[in-house]
Amino acid sequence: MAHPTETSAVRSDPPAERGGLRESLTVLRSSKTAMVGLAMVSFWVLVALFSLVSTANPYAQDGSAPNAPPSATHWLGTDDLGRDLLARVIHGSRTILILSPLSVLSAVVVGSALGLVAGYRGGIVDEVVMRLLDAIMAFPTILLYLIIIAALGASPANVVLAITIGGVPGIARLVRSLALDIRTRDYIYAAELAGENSFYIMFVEILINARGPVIVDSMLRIGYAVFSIGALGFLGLGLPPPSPDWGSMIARGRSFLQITPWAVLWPALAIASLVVGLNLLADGLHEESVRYQ
Amino acid sequence: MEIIRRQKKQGYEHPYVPELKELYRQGRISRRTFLRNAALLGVSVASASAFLAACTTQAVPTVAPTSPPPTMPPTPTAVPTATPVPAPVVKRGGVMRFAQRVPGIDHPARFSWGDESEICRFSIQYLTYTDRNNITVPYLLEKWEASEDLKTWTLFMRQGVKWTTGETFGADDVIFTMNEWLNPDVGSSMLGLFSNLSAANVEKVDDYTVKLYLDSPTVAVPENLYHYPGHVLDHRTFEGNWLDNPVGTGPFIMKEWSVGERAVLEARKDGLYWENGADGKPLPYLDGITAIDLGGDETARVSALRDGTIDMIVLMGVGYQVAKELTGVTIDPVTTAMAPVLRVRVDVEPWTDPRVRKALKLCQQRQKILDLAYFGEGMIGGDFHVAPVQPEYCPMDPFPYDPEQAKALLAEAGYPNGIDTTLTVGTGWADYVSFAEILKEGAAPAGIRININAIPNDSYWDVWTTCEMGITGWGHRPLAIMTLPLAYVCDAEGVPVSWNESGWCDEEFSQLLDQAVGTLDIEERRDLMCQIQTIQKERGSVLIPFWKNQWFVFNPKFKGIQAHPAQYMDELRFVWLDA
Repeated sequence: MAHPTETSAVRSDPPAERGGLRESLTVLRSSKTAMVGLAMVSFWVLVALFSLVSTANPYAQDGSAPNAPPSATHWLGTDDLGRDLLARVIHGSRTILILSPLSVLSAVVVGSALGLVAGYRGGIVDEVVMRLLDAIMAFPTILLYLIIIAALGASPANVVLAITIGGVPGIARLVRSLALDIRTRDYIYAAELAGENSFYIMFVEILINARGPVIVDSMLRIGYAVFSIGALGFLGLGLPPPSPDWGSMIARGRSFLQITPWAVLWPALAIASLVVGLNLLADGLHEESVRYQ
Repeated sequence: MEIIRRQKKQGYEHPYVPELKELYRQGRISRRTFLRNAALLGVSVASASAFLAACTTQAVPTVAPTSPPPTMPPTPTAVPTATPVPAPVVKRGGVMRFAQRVPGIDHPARFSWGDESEICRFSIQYLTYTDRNNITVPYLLEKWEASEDLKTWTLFMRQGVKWTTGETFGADDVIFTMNEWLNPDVGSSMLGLFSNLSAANVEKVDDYTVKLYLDSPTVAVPENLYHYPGHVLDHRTFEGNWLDNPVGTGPFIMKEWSVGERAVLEARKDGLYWENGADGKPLPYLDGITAIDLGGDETARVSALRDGTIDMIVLMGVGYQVAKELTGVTIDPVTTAMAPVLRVRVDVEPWTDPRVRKALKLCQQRQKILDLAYFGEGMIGGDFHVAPVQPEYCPMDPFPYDPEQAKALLAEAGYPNGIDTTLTVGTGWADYVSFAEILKEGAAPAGIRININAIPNDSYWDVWTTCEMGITGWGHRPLAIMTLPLAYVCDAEGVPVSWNESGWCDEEFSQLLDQAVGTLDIEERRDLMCQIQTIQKERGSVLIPFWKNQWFVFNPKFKGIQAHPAQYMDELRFVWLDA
């Protein structure tokens, strides 16, 4: 057993350097669950990409066709302002597929940094960081979002900020627990003996080796973020009108649910299929990576 | 004519009444205008109706020959009466449950929302009552008289009215209540309506007569007495919080008030209520009324009505779209002077320039806004705060949609590349959000780029007088001369009055408004209103694309329910359950 004080300690290769992209793809391909999830997510990614070239205008109001049922002109029908629901669902996918990963990515960056510092440094640093994060976690997540959006106003940047702040404590806790475990490994002692600085050890040695659980967690968090953006839109605190935000589409259509259910049906199906896809992808990856290891 | 002559013999008649009759005989004013103004001058509605009937038998035209505006509501065919005539056969018993916010309250004079008065009005009543046709009639008053100069008003109390304590209602109660209104420490909005009256100028003539000596002529005193904080209080028992001792003259007694949950009223059983029903016994017919707080979500209200959880709801939004598809309910619509008012702060660039304000007005596709935001259920507005249902209304065409002219106006004002602006709107008001979205699309070709800032309704009330551009819902008032001084004038120092949310003051407008408030002659007042409307339309600070309809939706087992444009339900005392 190597020990930091032993000069004979040999730096062992961390597992991260053995796998790589090919290994990840192997894990992915070997999981049917993950492949189904990937297909569903890919569908929405393609829809979002299609919105870049689509000429359908999600804002165009057809005064002669409010709340119109699905037809040859409007495949999915129209909302109460006569706007084409298909165009709005398509353009809404782009918004949600940009904001959700972006908010999770920023939460991962901040949460990982805090978790690494707390887990690797320990002591008073750990105490201070974790208690601060506990304070944030004490707020119910949706309430935290409401407070932030109500204070700063509804905009894409503020939605990302709110979801980031809401996600940081959970990610930091995860990374901290992984860091607490990994910092006792031989290769960390070896790196310390080799004179590597703390930044290198935290972000190269520990974080790289913690990536598996963090990636799976992030996948799930993207799904939560989709939900959160939808919920904020539903509560009128998401993207400002007339953005084709799926949550606000549901909120708007809810008033007419009994007479024109399609205005709610399509954005609700969109959110559900994207979240289910992301969850299947995350679950499949998790199960297969555990089995593989 | 005999009826009219007899009335003259019996007592005072305002000098303008004969002229009013002559105007009607000549067909220069409508039936509704005659009734409203006659009632306002103290002529009983029964007498006025008799005069109208006499004119009709003499083949005098019943409708003014001047063409009504295309958006004018139809003249009511039924002659309004002071006391609605119930169905000939009535039944007693039953409880009505209706959806109504139950807010925290204390002093009725301090009410600042109609919701606060909505439940109390079954127990504490008003001196006057303005009915669904905008005709004001005596309520706790028996009658009133106005001096020729409209500065002295004599109020005659109804005799035989008893408080729920058994004490007699009279002049002392009215003077006590008015002193509360006029006391700045109480903070009543009635003080604004009676700014030309001081407590010292309220005189008790006898136990049932009070005289008001106003500093300036006011034609709308009876209407002002029905303003929602104008509940008449018992001078013997009221000590600041009505719920501590809920004494009233009304047909119901407050039994429970749970904020945010419900309010329970029970029928008065002492047999002392002053109005009798069709069966000759004191009202009400119902055993009780329960107000259930379902929040502000109309969809939830409609669902509760459909499920039978409640018996009546009032709708003024998207809920109507669902309610009209329901079977087994009765819907009574009413045209109102409620409107979404988009206003700009005239002290914020670029809205300081009237040309920019006019450019924005030219960007409204009014019919489209009405059709899509309010499903066509209302009347087109013309950017002046005078509604077709209000008697002063001067028919006037609104600006057409003309983005090219708007663009030219912006260029003339120094904005050739257009302007960027932020429109704040409450997310809970779906029709206002839709209005904002349609305006945004319509304004884009003119170069007005609108960013919509949607915030929670509660947050909107924090910024409604300060945000650069916002949409505020203004409630129904029977007279435009009640609304305009609240929202579009400044005080003597030039400071906008507290509800002047746009900060807009116009000297000529204010002068004309002062004249209109004190002008009795209908045609003269209408001429003044034409000028007032033109000023507000051309250089005012608001966009009013439409006026809203409103609906009372109820279980048809309840008979006698009538929608009221201000949502007031005083007439539930005449409602009975056909179980």
